[in-house]
Amino acid sequence: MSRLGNRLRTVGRILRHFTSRQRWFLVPLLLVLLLAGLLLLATGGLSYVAPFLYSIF
Amino acid sequence: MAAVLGISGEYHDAAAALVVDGVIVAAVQEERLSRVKNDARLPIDAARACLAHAGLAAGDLDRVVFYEEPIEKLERVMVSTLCAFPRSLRQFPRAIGAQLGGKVWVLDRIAERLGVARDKVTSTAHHRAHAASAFFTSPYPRAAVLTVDGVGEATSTALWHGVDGELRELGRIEYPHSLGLLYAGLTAYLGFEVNEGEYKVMGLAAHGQPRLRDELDKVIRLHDDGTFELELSYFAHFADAELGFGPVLEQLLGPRRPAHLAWELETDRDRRYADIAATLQQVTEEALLGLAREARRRTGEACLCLAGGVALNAVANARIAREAGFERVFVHPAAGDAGGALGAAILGSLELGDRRPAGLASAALGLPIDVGLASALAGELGLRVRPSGDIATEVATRVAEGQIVAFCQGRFEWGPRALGQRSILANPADPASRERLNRAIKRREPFRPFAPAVLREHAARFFVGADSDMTPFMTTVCPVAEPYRDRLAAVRHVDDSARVQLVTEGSAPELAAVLTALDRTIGMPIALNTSLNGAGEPIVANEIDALGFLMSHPIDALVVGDLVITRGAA
Repeated sequence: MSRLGNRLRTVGRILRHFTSRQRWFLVPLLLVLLLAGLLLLATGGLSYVAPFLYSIF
Repeated sequence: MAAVLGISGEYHDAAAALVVDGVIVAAVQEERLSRVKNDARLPIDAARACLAHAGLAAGDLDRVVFYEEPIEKLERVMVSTLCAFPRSLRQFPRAIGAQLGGKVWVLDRIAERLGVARDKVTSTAHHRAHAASAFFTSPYPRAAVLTVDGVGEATSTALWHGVDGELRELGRIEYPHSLGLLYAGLTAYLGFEVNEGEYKVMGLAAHGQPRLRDELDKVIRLHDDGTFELELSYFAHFADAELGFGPVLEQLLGPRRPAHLAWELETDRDRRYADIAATLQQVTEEALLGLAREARRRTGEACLCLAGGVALNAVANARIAREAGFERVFVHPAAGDAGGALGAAILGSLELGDRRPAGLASAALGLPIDVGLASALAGELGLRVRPSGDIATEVATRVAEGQIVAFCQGRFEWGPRALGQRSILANPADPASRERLNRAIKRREPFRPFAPAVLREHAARFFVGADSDMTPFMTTVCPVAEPYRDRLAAVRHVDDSARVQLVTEGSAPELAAVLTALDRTIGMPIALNTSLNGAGEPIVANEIDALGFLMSHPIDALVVGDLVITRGAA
């Protein structure tokens, strides 16, 4: 339960960050990507990490 | 009065560092424990090892500070991949997936895995952590500070002014304009592994001539105010995570060098690649010099501190020390991302009201080696174990005879350099020892140099300008004095320079004793000193790693504390 609480508080921090910076245009994309990210994780799409992915992303 | 743990990780060089009541207690890179080179995973084992060394539990921590702002990073990744659309299309799912699939939750995961309350886990900006690692471990009360790396959240380069316990940012250069990514992109172009092969490019540069300046001037523009700009059409780090450079760069410089091809520097093909490395090194040095001169102009300080992965370029650091106008220069020994863990811990400690740490006298901040356990294990393995009454003289005698000795003493080093705690020692006057080390033990490219360790009080006789704040940590190079160039053939690079380590009783007492004994046997208080690891391995951490190294590499002896361990029946 505390894990879920931590994640939800982090989601709140992310949304507050983007809205407080007037990055409103990124919020819809963020929500779509959040879903895509979860799908990618669920399908094992992160098993390989390329060298520049380490450095940059 | 606080206990603060700093954490770096998730990108490369994960590490943990512990500061208690303003004192640096321990600092450990995860790779040393996991035995995975450049291990990027959250350094939970390293964190626990730091706590155990201090006799603390996770619950005793007042704060845990991560070395980067995860949400700022997410924003930069989103904005930069959108800006590079459609070129970033292939990259987009992986980049964003890496963020949202794990990295953005990093503070939660640290709290859960360490077992500390989530509200005790905070973060700091990547370059602030680098700047703190350099300034607050330096011997200077005030200094200009430069942090230069691939990229932090959105920053690749930052200029700071440090005064006592404060760090103020004066300016920054933002991603994708990055000296680190320029060097990394060309490292990949030259067929080396990114985040690992940059040292090789630096070593290769001395074998070439900077003949391709016109070409490289198209790739990076250096401005009079110390800033720089990459011509982005040559790069692809925002669109291609495999290479980092694009086809336009190959049109400019010719085809990339295939990876894992043996180097033949006498051929035209490899001479050209060496020339490219030399030109890249020259451009990097000039970019860093421009930044350092601007730092001097804007702060008026006499001292400069450097951190960030680019600050591991020892050749560039030497030029900065000579030409940028500073009286003294200090480079944090773990200048890459690992060092950010220590910077983050110090920042947390200062915020909680503790004093600034004392300047770093030694990099031996890791875990100690267990001499008793080494003896017991060696016996079980059927190795010959013998305690020595005078270990320094015994090591010196073996080295003078041309033997190669693995040397383990006390706590292992912080940072990528072996500084006498987990070292391989050999005769600096014996080119055969160098060849054997390169070909049979380290299995490195033949153009890569080995470094000398020298007693501080004798250094001026053998090396020009060796007494600096960088040489105790091997973060700069010096010319070998002309009369000794022939005798020091095994530790002299092709351009007559050497990446010298100055040794004192305080920084590495056991190595200092060996060097004193070497002065008696070979007439020079100097040893060839290279890191105790095989090709592609992290440096040895504990007695098990050390014995494993002895059994799998053709060295002549392993010394652990006062024990001499050799192959053969006990």
